[in-house]
Formats: sequence, structure tokens, C-alpha cells
Amino acid sequence: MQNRTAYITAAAISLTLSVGLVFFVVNAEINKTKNILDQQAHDLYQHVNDNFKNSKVVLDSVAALFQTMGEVDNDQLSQYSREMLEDYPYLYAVEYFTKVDNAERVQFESDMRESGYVAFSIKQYAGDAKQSLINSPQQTTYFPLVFMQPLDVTTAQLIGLDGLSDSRFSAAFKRAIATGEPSMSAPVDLMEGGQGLMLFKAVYTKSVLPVDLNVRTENTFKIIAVLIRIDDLLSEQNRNNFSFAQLRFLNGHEDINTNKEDLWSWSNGLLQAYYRDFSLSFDDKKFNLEFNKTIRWEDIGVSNIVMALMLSAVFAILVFWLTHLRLVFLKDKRKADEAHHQEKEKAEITLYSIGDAVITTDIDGGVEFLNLAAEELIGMQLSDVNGRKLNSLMSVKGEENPEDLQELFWTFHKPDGLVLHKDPLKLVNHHGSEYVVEISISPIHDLAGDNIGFVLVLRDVGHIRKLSFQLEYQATHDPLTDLANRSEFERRLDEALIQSKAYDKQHALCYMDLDQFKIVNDSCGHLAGDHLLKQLATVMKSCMRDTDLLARLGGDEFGVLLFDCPVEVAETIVLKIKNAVSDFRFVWDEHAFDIGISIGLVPICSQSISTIELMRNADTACYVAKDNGRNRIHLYQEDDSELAQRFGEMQWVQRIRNALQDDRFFLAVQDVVSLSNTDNEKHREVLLRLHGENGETIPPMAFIPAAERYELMPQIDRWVFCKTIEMIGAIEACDCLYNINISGQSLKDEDFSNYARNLLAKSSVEPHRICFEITETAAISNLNTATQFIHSMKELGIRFALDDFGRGMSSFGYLKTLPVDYLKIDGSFVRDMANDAIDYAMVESITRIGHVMGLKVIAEFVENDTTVELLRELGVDYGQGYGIHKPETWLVEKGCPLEHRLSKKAV
Amino acid sequence: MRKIAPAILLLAMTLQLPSAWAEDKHRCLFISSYHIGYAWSDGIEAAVYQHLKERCVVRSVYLDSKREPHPEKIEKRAHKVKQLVEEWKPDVIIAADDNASKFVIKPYYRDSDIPVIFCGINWSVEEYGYPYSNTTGMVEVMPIKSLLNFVRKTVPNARNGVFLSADVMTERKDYQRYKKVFARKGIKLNKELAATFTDWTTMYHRSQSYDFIIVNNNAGIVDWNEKQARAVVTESGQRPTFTVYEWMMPFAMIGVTKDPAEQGEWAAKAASSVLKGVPISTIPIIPNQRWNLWRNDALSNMAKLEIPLSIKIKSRPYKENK
Repeated sequence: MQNRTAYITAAAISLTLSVGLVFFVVNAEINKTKNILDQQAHDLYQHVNDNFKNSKVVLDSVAALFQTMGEVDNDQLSQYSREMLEDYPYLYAVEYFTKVDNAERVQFESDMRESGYVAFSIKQYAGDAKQSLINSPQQTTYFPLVFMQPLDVTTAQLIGLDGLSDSRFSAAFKRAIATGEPSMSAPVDLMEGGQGLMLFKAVYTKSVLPVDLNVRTENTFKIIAVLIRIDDLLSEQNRNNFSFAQLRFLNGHEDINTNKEDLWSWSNGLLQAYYRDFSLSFDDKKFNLEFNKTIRWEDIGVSNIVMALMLSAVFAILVFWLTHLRLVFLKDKRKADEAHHQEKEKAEITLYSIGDAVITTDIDGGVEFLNLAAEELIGMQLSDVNGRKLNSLMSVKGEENPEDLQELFWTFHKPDGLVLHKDPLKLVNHHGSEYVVEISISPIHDLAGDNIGFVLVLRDVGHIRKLSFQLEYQATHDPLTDLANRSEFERRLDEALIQSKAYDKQHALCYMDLDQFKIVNDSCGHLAGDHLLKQLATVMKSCMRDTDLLARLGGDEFGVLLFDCPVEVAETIVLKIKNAVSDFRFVWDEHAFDIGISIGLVPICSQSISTIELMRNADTACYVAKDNGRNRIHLYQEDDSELAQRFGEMQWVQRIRNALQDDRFFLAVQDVVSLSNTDNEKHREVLLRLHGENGETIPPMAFIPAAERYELMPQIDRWVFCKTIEMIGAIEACDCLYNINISGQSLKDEDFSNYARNLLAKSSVEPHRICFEITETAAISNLNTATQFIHSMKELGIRFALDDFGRGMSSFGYLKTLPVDYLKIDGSFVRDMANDAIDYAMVESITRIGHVMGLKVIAEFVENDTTVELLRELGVDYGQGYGIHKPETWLVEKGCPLEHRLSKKAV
Repeated sequence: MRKIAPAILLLAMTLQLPSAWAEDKHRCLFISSYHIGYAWSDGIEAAVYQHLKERCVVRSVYLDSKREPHPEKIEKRAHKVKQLVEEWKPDVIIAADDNASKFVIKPYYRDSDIPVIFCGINWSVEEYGYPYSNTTGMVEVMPIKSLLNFVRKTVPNARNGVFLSADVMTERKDYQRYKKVFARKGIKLNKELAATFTDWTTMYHRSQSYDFIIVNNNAGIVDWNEKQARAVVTESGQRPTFTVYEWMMPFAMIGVTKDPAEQGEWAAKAASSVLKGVPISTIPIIPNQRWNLWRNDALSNMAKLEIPLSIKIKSRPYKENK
């Protein structure tokens, strides 16, 4: 509707202006036409004037002819007249009247008749309606017309007409005679229609104009006349440019309005839009030349009007276009306004929604806007604080020094945008509530770049800081014991080392490992272990100075940093810790456990190399302490042989990895022989060997400890199992049972069971050809996982042997929960059983228990036949050892090569 | 020749028979006193036809009075013309030259209802009693004054001239008029009127003693020998010679001649006005008004006569074959 109105308005404007334009152009054209008409009228006026003058010239010339020649031959005059009439087409006739005194009249008339005018007489108009001519009555003098050029049938009758007595001519005649100058008659009707003006000029018998009027009359012998046809005074072509043109004869009066006589009029128009008149005079005659023109469309320049219409059309299009543009602009502006409003709404909602407090102020800090967060921060609503100075609503203080808010503004009063206050400030609002905030202040500039206010964004960082503290705490502390964690410990160790190097200070580092912790953890669960750790942390902390740092490094390992502590003092503190732990008795679910702790102590001095070196030394010292019987302290010293061994182990780590990578491990087999001769199934233990970098064969005890300590056993176990499956798969119709040692680390590795299962599934090896040997220690240390592993593997058909049974002096009760098939008596009991009654008893007891539990018993380290015999007596099922079969490299083609020899030995 | 004249007349009349489509137009009868081929009357007739062709059907009849001048014969032809008028009933009659008025108009149509326009009548119309109530026209006058002007311009000191012409009544009248006009300017004009060619030759030779010679009409010299006449003029002509007849230009150095077309034109215009309803009484009888000016350079050169420049400019050279 609005658009329609706008377009209608545009149309109205276009129409109005177009009409105006057309009117203007038409008016201009009319004026132009009037100017042209003015010029034409003036030209016509000039033309008439000239015609009068030229008529006079003709008259004068003819008169001069007579004046100089006396008598002029009619033929000669006719020729001259014809030329004049041709040259001056408005001249209708050239005539002359000759003076005839009354006494000469008869002879004159006779002569005229004799000359061919057969009926000639001096005549005058009778005055009747028919304009008939009659013989002129007697009078003193006559001026009959004797020559007329042209002479035609209608005018020929005028030959003989007495001009002097003619009422129309007499006055002009007399004036001509009296003045010697051309005179003009009043308008006369022409016989063939129209009107004419007669000009007369007297010719005297003597060339000189007589001075005396009477003499002039006397001497006049000819009156020359020219007849002007009024219609022809104006050229037809020019006259036709006007609707109406007329020469008004005024009878000598100036007042054309009241006393004028139309000479002729000519009209072809309807309206008189143009009028112009000119005054003319000749002799005593006054004329008014009037022009009138009804200006019609065809008189106006059509091209200009068309141009005006085209311009109008263009203008209309322009107006419509501008209107359209304006509407589009308004529409766009409305959209932009709506979008702006929406954006503003969004911005305000966003500002209200965001957690940061947003405050805008004027240049003087007067509040102009608060979002919801700002209202909460300030504790007042925008309507309450609008225009109030911001520093009257809140104050800000630095962490250390108070800050003046207004000064902050001016500090940040820079034209280049956002400025962030680097340090969090403490904000105290109107109600005294305190917040820790970060403030960013941005100046607001107008288009000229002048600052007109500020935008403050205040972020409440109190929660963040708290969270940050928490995260920092969590990052540096053990969540269970609230002690520093390993990373924090190492950071502090760095600091201590730096201090030592910088200030030559002495500190001490302790690496502590709980003894028997796994037993508590495994037997009573993790919760018990956790409690134990927490309690021990408290116990240990109580033994330390406030400046010392106790950290849980992982599992049951702890670290202590003793700052500014000589090694002697450190030993005292560490001993105190050891004793406190030893004295501590942990009770859980009616179970009581004595806990020991092995501690490695390393002094930190300016000569200490690095944090890593310190930690490795402490770890090694701790291991040595543990290896030396647990619950003791081992002080690291340079050239420490025990530590050297430990370092040797550490070097094995990389060698093992290299060997795995270079595939330098290989397998050996050692037969396990039935001692009862009742079991035909052949047994064989798969043994691991290593080719050294120089090709030598390295026994397993050289690298297994290092592999166990550095968690490399799962990789080695996988390689052994894979290689064994490969070897078995290569044997056709294998009926042996292959015993494969599985470390405790692999027992805890849930992926190992999957690995074994998948490998078996892909191979042709029957799982019941496989027997996993796990040590008693490993099984008991990971009792739950070991139990689960055994069950899952036995489902496949794999059998289990509990290796080194008896070494750990474990409770036999564990056997109830471990579904093993074989017990392998620790070789230390078997080796000297022939000479040591206790060992014999142990072998006997274990064999008995095994059998009671339905297990087969295998004796290791059978090195001689005596032992074989003793074992048979005790009912031990299998024997294994150098006395039966020495391990040899496993070659596939060998199949089961030792069967025969074993049988022979057994014999 | 005389036997076949009636046949020629009839043929001419037949050729001029109006066509059927012309019945609705006015009828104009042109009566020529002479015959087809006579330059003067041919000029009149041509002008009549030219000016009346849009107004009326023009029919021409010829009295052939120049070639058959015997009055009885002319009267017979005039009677036939009268019969034709009665049959054809023209709205206007144009009578050219004297014999048409003398043998047709005067005896048959004086004051009749049929308008008559005459033309080519020499000087006076008194012989025919003009004007009648139904007639007007143009008389044929000699341009004596004009001729006098040219004589005076050519021979400024002329005092004694001669009028050489055929010895007929018309020429005698003309001589009187010439004499009278010339006398007004102090010029004595003598006369030499010849009845035969021999007389004319003798008179021509004798005229060489005058200041100038007006060689007037030879019509009436029955044995006129054109060739010899030219030879005589060429051999003997030493004096300025003037004429008012175009056909006499081989024997004159300057000629001021009547224009037959003016006669025919005036007659046609008058007839046209009458047909329009203009009372014939309002149209006066007037004399002819214009002349043709000729010069014969051959003769003037032989006579070593210098023709004034003003005449040379205005005149047309006469050529032998014209």
C-alpha cells in the first residue's frame, strides 16, 4: 500500500512536471513562434512601407518621363508601364489623366475617337447603384483618363473618366496639383474586386514646380497615377503566415479604435493569440497594419515538443526509478534497521547472557549500560546507576596496591582499541562484596576518532583462580595421599640441584619402596592398600622437618627431599622414617601386616650431575637396599659395586630391545622326563637364549632380571610364545607338551591372553600341547589376575605349571585358588636333597601336597642319578635337570630327539 | 484556285465541326475575313483559340476575301455563314477584320441578340455603323505616333518624308492620318501611291530623295512582285525606311507593326466576359495598344544607316525567313 502510494505520488509528480515541462516547451515555442511572427510582421510592415515608397518611385519616374519629354508615346509608356508592373506586382495599373479645358473638350473627344476609342467621351460616374458612367457635364477643366496599362475589357470603360470631378479622386488630385508631390486617394473599389489606392502626381508644363498655387493649377497638364492593389501590398506567402492581417485605413485620424475603416481583412484562423500592429502613413493617409495569429500546434516546433515529451518520459522514468530506488533503499534500510535491531537485541541478549560483566560509560565514566553480569557484580541495576560515575559504584584494588578506577580509564585512554589489565584486580562493589576480576577497557570512538566513552569487560576470575589452584594442586599432588606427586617432586629436585650448584648447598634425596605392600594390596584389596599408603604418608611425614618434601612417586614408591641437609642428618631422618614404618602395624579386616621399607639415599651436592642421574642413583640404591634384604637403607656412594650391577642391568634394557628388534633371541629345549614311567606323554621346557652382539650365547639369567625390572618381560614372553607356536606348528604329528615360562608381568597384561588366543586360533597347534609355567611369586603377587588368566587359558586347553614352588615360602592355601596342573619344585630344594634333609623334607612335603591336590609334581635341577632315585621314591612325577637332559637349541627337524636318551638315563 | 476555294471553305468548316461532347459548352464562332494561311488573320485566330479554348467551343469560318475579293462571292460566303449561325447558334461571334463586319455582321446581326466582338477593323468603324447594341471590339490603328518617334530618333533632322503605298482607299486614309501627325512635329509627309508594281518600283526609286520613306501596305498592288521588290530595295535603298506592316519588313529598315495576337486576345477576352454575363455595352471599343518593333539590319547596313541604340535594344531583328 505504501509502495502504491509512493508510485502514485511519483506518477503525479512525473505527470505534473512533465506537463510543466511540455507547457514550458510549448510556451517557449509559442514565444519563439511569436518572435518569428514579430519578425515576419515587421518584415511585412517594412514590405508595405517599401511598397509605398516604390510606388512613389514609379510614380515619380513616369512623371519625370512626361516632365522631360512633354509628350510620351502610349506605346512607349505601355512598355515602360509593363516593366514597372512586372517589377512591382502590387501595382495594378499605371495611368495618366490629361488636362482638358472645357473649350478643348469637343476636339479632344473627337481626336480620341479618331485614335480608335470609337465611343470616347469625358465621363463621370452617374452615382447610381450600377456604377454607370455618363458624359461629364460642362465644367472648366477636365482630367480624363486617357492611358491605362494594363487595359482590359473590364477597365477599358474607364478611359475618359474625369478624375478631377470624381469624388474619390478629386481631393488627391487637387493635393497633387497643389503640392507637386504624390498624393494618395482614399481606398477605392476595384472593378474586378478588391480595393486599391490611387497615387497621383501632377506634371507641369514646365519642369520647375510653380511657386504659386494658381500657376500650378494652370500649368498642370497631366496627372500620373499608379493604382495599388491593397491585397497585393503584402506578399501572399508572408501574409499566409498569419491568421489574420489587415491594413486599416484611419481616414487621417490616429484613433484606430473608434474611427477606422477596414481596407481589407484576411483571416484564416480562429483565435488571436498573437497580435501586432504598425502605423504607416502616406501623403495625408494614415494606416494601421495589424497582424493576428492563432498559434496552432502545427506552428510549433514538433521536434521540440516531441523532445519535451521524450524528456518528460525520461523524466518520468527517472522519477519512477528514483522512487523505486528510494523504496528499495527504504526497504533495505528497514531490513537493515530490523537487522540492526535484531543484532542489537542479539548483542544485548548476548551481553546479558555472557558471564563477563560488560559496562559502558561515557567519557567521564558515567555508566550508560550494564549487562546482567555487571548488575550482579556491582549489585545494582542499570536503572539505578544510569549516569552515575562508575568509581562511585565500585572500587578496584590490585593484588598488592589499590587502583583508582578513574586513573585506570585515563591510563587506558588510548585510541588504538582494547587494553587488558594484566593482573587480576580485587573489585569491591557498592555492598562491599569482593570479586577478583580481570578488567579490559576499550575506548569508544566516534567517526571522527574522538573518544566518547569506554567499554569495560570485567571477568570474575575468582572461581577460575580457585579452579586453577585446584588444578595446580592436582597437577603437583597425589590425590590419595595429598603428598607431592612425582612431577612436583622432580621440579623441586631441580630447584634443589640448582640451589646446590648455585650456593653449594647440600640436600638429600631418598627413594623409598614399601616392602610387602603388594601382599596387602592383593590380599585385602586396593582400598586397603590405599589406606595403608595414606597412613604411611602420615607416619613418614611425622618423621620429617617442615621444610622437607615427601612425595608419592608411584605405587608404593615414595621420595623425600631433604633441603639443606647434610648426609649425616639425612641418614638420621631416613632412619627415623624406616623405623617408624617398621614399627607401624597395618590392620585391615582383622588382618595385621608388618610393613617394611627399603630406602635409597643419595646426597645432593654441587657435584651432582643431573636430576635424572640423582633419581637413577636413588632408585638403584633403593633396589640395592631391597635386594639386600628389604627394610633397610642403602646410602649411595661413588664406586658402589652393587650399584654398578644395577647399572649393568639397566644397560640390558637397550640390549634386550635391540635383540628383539634384531631377532637375536632363540629357543632351546630341555626335556622333562617322567620318573614314574606311567606317563607316556613327552614334556619339554622351552628355554630362552640370546645371541650377543658378538655372536656369543647369553644365558637367560644375564638379562631376565633386567627385563623383569624394566618391564620388558611381556615383549619377551610374546616372542617366546610366538616362536614356540611356530616351531610346534612346523612339527608333524607332535605329541609333546611344551612348557613355556610366563612372567608375572604378562600375567597382569590383559592383552596377553588375547594375543595367545588369537595366535593359537591362527595356527594349527593344538592348545593342549602348551603348558604355561608361572612362578609362585608371580602368581601370588598377582593372584587375582593370575587366577583369571589361568582360567581363561585352560578353557582353550592350555595347561599350567606353578614354577619355583617353595621359593617364596608362600602359604599352601593359594594352591586352592590356582587351577594349575603341575607343581615344579624349586630347584634349590631338589639340588641338595640328597645331602640336606630339610630340602628332602620340603620336596617330600610339596610332592605330597601336590598329589593331594591332584597335581603332577616336577622336580627341577635334577643333576644326578641319586636325585632321580630319591625323587622316584618320593613319587615325584617328573624330573628335569642337567642330570637328565641338558638344554639344547631347538631345531624343528629334531622333533622330540631326547626321548630315547631320557629313557636310557631313566633306566 | 478560285474554283476550289468553296471546297476549301467547306472542308475547313467540316474540320471545325464541334464534337458531340462540346454541346454543353458555349459556342463561339470565329469569322475570319480572310483565309487560312494569311499571317495576320492566322495570328488573330490563334490568339482567339488560345484564350477561348477553356471557355467555349470555337468554330471558325473564312470569307477568304483576300483571295476572292469579289463582293458577290464574299456575300455568298457571308450568307452561308449566316446559315451556319442559324444552325449552330453560337453564343458569341467574333468577326475578324473589316469584311467580316461588312458582309456578315452589318447585314445580318446589327443590334441582334447575338453578341459580336469585332477586331482588326482599320481605324474607323463608321463604315459599319459601329457600335451596335450587341457589339464591341478593337479597332486597328496605325502606330503613327510611335512611328514618328522612331523616325525622329533615326532621322533627327527629318523634315521631308514620303508615304509609299498601294493606291487604295485605305492607304489614302492612312496617309491623311500620318500626314496630320507628322505635321504636328513639323515634318512634311508626301505620298507615293502605286497601283502597279512598276509604279511602286518607280516611286521607290523616286523616294530616295526624301529624308525617310514610310513603306506602307502593298495590299492592292495586284502585280506585286515580291522578289523584284526585294531586289529593288536591296539595290536602291539608301534612305531610312519605315513600315507598320510586318510583311513589309523586307523593304523597311525599322518596323513598328501591329500585333494580330492583341486583336485576337482582346476579342477573346471580351467574348469571355460576355459569356460570363458582362453586358457588352460596358465593354468599350478601343484601339490596339501595343506594337512590335523590328529592325532589318541587312537593309540598314547596305544603306550604311546607323540605327539608334535605343531602338536596337528594344527591337527584334527581322530575318528573311520570318
